[in-house]
Amino acid sequence: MAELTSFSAVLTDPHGSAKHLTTSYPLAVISVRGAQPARVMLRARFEPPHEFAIAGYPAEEAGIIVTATGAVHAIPFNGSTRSWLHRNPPPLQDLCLWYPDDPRSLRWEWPDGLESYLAIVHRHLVYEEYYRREAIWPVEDAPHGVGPHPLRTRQMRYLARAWRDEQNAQTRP
Amino acid sequence: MSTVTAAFDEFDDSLKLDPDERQAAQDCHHEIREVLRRAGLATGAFLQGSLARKTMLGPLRDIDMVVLLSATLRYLRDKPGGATEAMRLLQGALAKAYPKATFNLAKHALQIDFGDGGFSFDVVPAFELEDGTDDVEIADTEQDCWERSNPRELVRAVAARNQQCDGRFVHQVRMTKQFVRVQLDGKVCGLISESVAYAAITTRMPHPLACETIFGAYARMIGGPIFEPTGRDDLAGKISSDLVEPARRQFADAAERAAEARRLAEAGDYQAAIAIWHDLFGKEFPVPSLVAPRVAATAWAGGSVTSAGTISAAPLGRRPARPTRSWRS
Repeated sequence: MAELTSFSAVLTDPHGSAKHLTTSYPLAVISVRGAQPARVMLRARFEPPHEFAIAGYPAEEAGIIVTATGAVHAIPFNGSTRSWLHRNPPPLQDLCLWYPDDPRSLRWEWPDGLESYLAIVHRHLVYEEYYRREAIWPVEDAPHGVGPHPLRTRQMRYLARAWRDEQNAQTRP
Repeated sequence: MSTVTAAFDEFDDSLKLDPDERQAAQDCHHEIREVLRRAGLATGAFLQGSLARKTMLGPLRDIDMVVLLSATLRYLRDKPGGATEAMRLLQGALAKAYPKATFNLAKHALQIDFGDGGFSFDVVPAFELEDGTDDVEIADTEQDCWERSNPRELVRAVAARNQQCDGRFVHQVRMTKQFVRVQLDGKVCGLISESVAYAAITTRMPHPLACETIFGAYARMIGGPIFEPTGRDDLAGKISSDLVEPARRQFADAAERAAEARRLAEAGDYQAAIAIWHDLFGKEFPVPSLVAPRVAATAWAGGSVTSAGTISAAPLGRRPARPTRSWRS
C-alpha cells in the first residue's frame, strides 16, 4: 500500500506532499497556496466523478489548512456565492465533514492519512451540490447542534460496523 | 456470466481481423508466390510475422512473407551485391504483374505497396538451409550478406504456447498490443509485446488476470533483455532508450489498475471494473453503463473513487472514502 501523508509530512515538505497527493488521488490536483512553519494551506481542485460530470456537476475547489497542532480545515473557494447545508459558522466557515461524537469508524483522524481526508472533502463538496439540485442530502447526515444523535439508517449503521471491523482486522497483531 | 467476461468477449471480437480481409490477404500472398514461381525465381513462400502467428491487430495492411528462392539463384549467396540483386529480380517480376504497385528495397525485404485500399507486403528473399533445421537464410542488403533466421520456429513456438493456454494466448497478445497502441502510441514493436506475453503467460488464465500479469511483466522486463519466444534474439535494442522509463511507469500503473479492476469485479462492481478496462484499452473496449447521480451518491457513502474516476460502492477503488455524517455545530 502507498505511504499515507501525515501532518508532519505536510508541514515539513508541503510541495512534496502536494505532488504525492495529486498522484494518488484520481480526480484531484493539489497545490501549495501558502506555507509557514505553523501552518500550511493547500489548494485542492476536484473534478466531479464521471457519474456527476455527465450530469453537469462543476469542478470544486477548496483550501485545506493544516496547522502544527494537527488541526485541519476545508474551506470552499467561492463559498459566499452558493448555499451550503453543512458549513460551520463564522469566522472559519469550514466544511463540517463529520459529527464529532460519532464512532471512530465514522470520523477521520490523522492515522488515516490526508488522502482519506481529501476523499471526504471531495465527497462532501459533491453532496453539497447534490443538495442544491435535489433539496435532499443523499445519505444520512447528523442533525445540527449538540446531540445525542444516534445513527438512524441501516446503511450508516452497516458502514460504521463494516469500517470498524476492517480497521480492527488491520490493527490486529 | 460476469459482465466483465462479456465485456472482454466483446473487446476480443473487436480486435479480430475481418475474416474476408484475412482471406483476401491470403489470396494475395498466394498470387505473389505464383507470379514468382512462374518467373522461375521461387520454389515456394510462406507467411511470417504477426499475421502468421495470429497476433496481428487490424487494420490488416502490412503482411510479411518469406519467398524461397530457386536453386538457380544460389550463386547470389556468394556474389557481392547478391542480396540486393535478389530483391531487384523479384521486383522485376512483380512490377510486370502489378504495374500500379510501388516498391521499396529495405534491409531484409522488398516492400510492395498496392496503394490505398490494398495491402502492403514485406517480401523477404531467402534460401532454405539444408542442415536439418527449418531455418532459412534471409537477404540483408545493408550488410550485403545472407543471415540465418528462424521464422517457422517462431510461428511454431507461439502456436504451441497458444495451445498450452487453450487458445487464449494469441487473444491476450492482441489485447496487449491494443494497450500499447492506445497508451504508448504504438511505439513499442509488436514482437516485443508478444515476447513479454510469452514470458509471462504459460497457462490458461482469464483475460483480466492475463492482462494484469502481462502489464506487470512488461514493467519488470522493459529496459532489460527481452528474448523473442524462440530465445535466440534479444529485442531490447528495438526500444528507444528515452521510451524505457515512461513505458515502465505506464505498465506499472496499468498493472495496478488492472488489479484494482479485478478486485472491484470480485466484489461485484462490474461496471466500475469495466470503466477501468475501458480507460486502459480505449474505445474498442465496451463502455460501462451510465449510473445516475442519486445511485452514485449513495454508493459513495462508504465506497471509493476508482482510477477511472467513477464511484464504486466497494471501498476497493483507488481512493476509498471513509463514511461520515456531515453535521454543523
